Amino acid sequence: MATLAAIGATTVVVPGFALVVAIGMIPSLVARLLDRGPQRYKSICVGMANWSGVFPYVIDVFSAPNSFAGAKAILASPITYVVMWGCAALGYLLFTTVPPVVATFLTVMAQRRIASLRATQKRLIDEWGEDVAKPGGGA
Amino acid sequence: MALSPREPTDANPRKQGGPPTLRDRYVIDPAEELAALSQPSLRAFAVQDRRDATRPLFALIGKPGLPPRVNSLTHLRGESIRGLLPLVEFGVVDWPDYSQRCFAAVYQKPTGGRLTEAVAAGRISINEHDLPRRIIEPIAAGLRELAPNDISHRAIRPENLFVLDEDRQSVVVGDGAMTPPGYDQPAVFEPVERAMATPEGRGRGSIGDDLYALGVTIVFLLVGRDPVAKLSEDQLLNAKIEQGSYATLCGRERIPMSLLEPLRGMLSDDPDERWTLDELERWINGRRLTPIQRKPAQKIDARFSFAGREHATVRTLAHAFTKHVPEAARAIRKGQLDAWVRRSLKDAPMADAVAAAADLARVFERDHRGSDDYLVAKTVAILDPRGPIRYKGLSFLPEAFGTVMAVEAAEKGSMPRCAEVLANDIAGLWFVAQPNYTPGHSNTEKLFAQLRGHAANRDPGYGMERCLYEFNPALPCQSSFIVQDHVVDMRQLLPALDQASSRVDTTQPPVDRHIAAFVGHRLGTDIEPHLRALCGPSPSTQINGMLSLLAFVQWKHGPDQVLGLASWIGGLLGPTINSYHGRTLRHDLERAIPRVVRQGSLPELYNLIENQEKREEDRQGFLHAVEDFAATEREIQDVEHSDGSDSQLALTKGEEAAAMSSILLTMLVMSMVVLFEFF
Repeated sequence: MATLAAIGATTVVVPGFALVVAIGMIPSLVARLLDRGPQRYKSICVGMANWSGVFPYVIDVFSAPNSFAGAKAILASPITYVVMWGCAALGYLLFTTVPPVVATFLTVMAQRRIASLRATQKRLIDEWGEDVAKPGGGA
Repeated sequence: MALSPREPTDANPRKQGGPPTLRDRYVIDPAEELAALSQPSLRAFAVQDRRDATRPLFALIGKPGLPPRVNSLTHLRGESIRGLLPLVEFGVVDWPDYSQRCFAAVYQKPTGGRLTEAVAAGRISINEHDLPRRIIEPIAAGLRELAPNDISHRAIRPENLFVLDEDRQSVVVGDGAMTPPGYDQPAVFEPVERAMATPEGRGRGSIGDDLYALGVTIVFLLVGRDPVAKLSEDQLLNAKIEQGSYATLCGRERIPMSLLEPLRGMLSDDPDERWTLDELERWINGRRLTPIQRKPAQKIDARFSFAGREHATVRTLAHAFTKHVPEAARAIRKGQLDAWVRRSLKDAPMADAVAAAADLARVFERDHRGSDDYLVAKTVAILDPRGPIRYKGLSFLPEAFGTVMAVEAAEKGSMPRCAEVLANDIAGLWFVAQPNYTPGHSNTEKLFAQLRGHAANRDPGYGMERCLYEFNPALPCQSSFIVQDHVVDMRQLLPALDQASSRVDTTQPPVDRHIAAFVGHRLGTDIEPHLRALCGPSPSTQINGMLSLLAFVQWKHGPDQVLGLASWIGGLLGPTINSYHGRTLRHDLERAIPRVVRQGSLPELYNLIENQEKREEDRQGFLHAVEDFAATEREIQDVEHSDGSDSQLALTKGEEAAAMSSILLTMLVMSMVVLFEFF
């Protein structure tokens, strides 16, 4: 309720800003609707990238004497959409490519650690016999 | 007795180039056997003294497994005692006919030969007038020399009398110490209670038993033959028991009046009434004593019919019982015996004791106390308490139990009946039945109690093997590894094992039950910790116990080097080395063993293998390794349950990283836009 009130107030007070954000952040809204993950990482990733594309135009809106007219002029340019939605696309690309790379890296690191620890255990068995592997030394 | 010495063999590992030699001086010629001087269980051979080739000597070779009387031999060695064949030397020699070393005794050779043969050949004549001076007096003098040392001869018989000199003046008694006491004596020369025992069970006896044998010998020499030759051994015993020894031997013979008195005295069947050496010497010196009168036989109302004979005395009945155990047990259980004892012998205490034995057998029907053998052994002890202990064919006086064990072990390789005697406390039945207390019996009873404890303990160092050595201080070690080496003394043990290492299966440990028991008895020191280790739960503990025991023996008795034995033990140390955890330490030990083995020192080998510092270091190292291993395992578990090992978690982490990257990039872009826009 408070969010709706804040949005309504913003629309009334700074209608140009609201228009640019409403149009520019459409990919984020779509990502938020499609994101089923508990942590909403996709939404964050796409939303933040999308915002980085919208932010320069928001500055322009606030810099113009008539923000609403400035907003309409900004939205009239196709480049504006390429930048705003392109950034959102880059965010989506980031979300698609980074996790597998990170996961592979983490798996490799874990396997190397396990191999190292197993080698340590083998050295202990070679030196002290199978009994070292038994609880309490097999006593 | 069918003692079974090892058969002569050509494959004698100890056969040496020269003839057997005792103490590097007395050369025994195995090719020249002197049958005229042999004994039933001893063979005689010619001997040459390296220092005096003209000295007339001969050697008696003992049968392996028959323990000689070393105390007697030690006392007689080098002594010139009137009436006794002079013993020059004794010891152990390599004997080619047996596959083991044998006990040998070198005696002065009686140049006049055996007395009975000399008499038969007419070379010498001994009449009733000569007997006191030529036979009785010298033998009594010989016994007088033995008596203060509590030694009896126990082999006085005509066949063992020799004419020492060529003038045929000196008659002596031959060897009596190379066999167990009375072992070669025909039963007629033994008092009744010892004659009822088997040859090995007759016991040490006393001078009184020697005087009895002297009495019988005199009768034989007087009549010139065996006066009871027609009687079987059982008939002879029954006659001696029922009529008395004197009547049995002399009843139908013409005995000179002059010898009536000593013969009645020496042949008395009551050991308390039998002449002593003092009485015999008084008679020799001309004092006349009152002849012992024969006691009238106890009148009984009815005889006891058993095994085809009508028995008038409990002693003959007891003797018959031991020959027919099942029938005897039946008669006892049915109450026939106690009824006869009560009615005919009018001996109520004895009858009650017999009835109680039968009742006890019924109560304990299911254990050994209810068996026929136990019941008969107990009853026989009650009926004839002065007789030997009789059980399952064994018949022995308590003091002879050692010899009985030795003979059974030599014959059978084990001692099952002797083990039963101890386990079932058969000797205890005999001691309880004794009518009078004697200190000797008390000591023997204590020894039996000690042996029962040893026999009940099955661990190495104990058991029947320990009993064997406890009761036979001169018995050589019977271990199959060294039996042929005749090891009697601890100093001989390790050299013998050292030699054995080249001919026996060295995959077996060198300490078997016999060696453990032999060391346990002969070492004379507390070796309980070694023996406990010997029967430890693991092979490594057992090997350690064996090594520590032999190392202790070497440290105490030498020799300095036992290369073969060290090598033998070195080959068995695998389990001990493997008892260390550390591989590096094990490799170090394996590399060091050959070096120590070449020193031939078992203490060094033991110190190498069982070093306490090393052991503690190994233990601590192992404990640390166990902790390290557990910590490593925990870490592995942690890693395996970490993000890197779970693909979904890793992907989530990646998404998080992507989101963070996006946030950072956005913040960077916003910062740059603000900078460009306002500055």
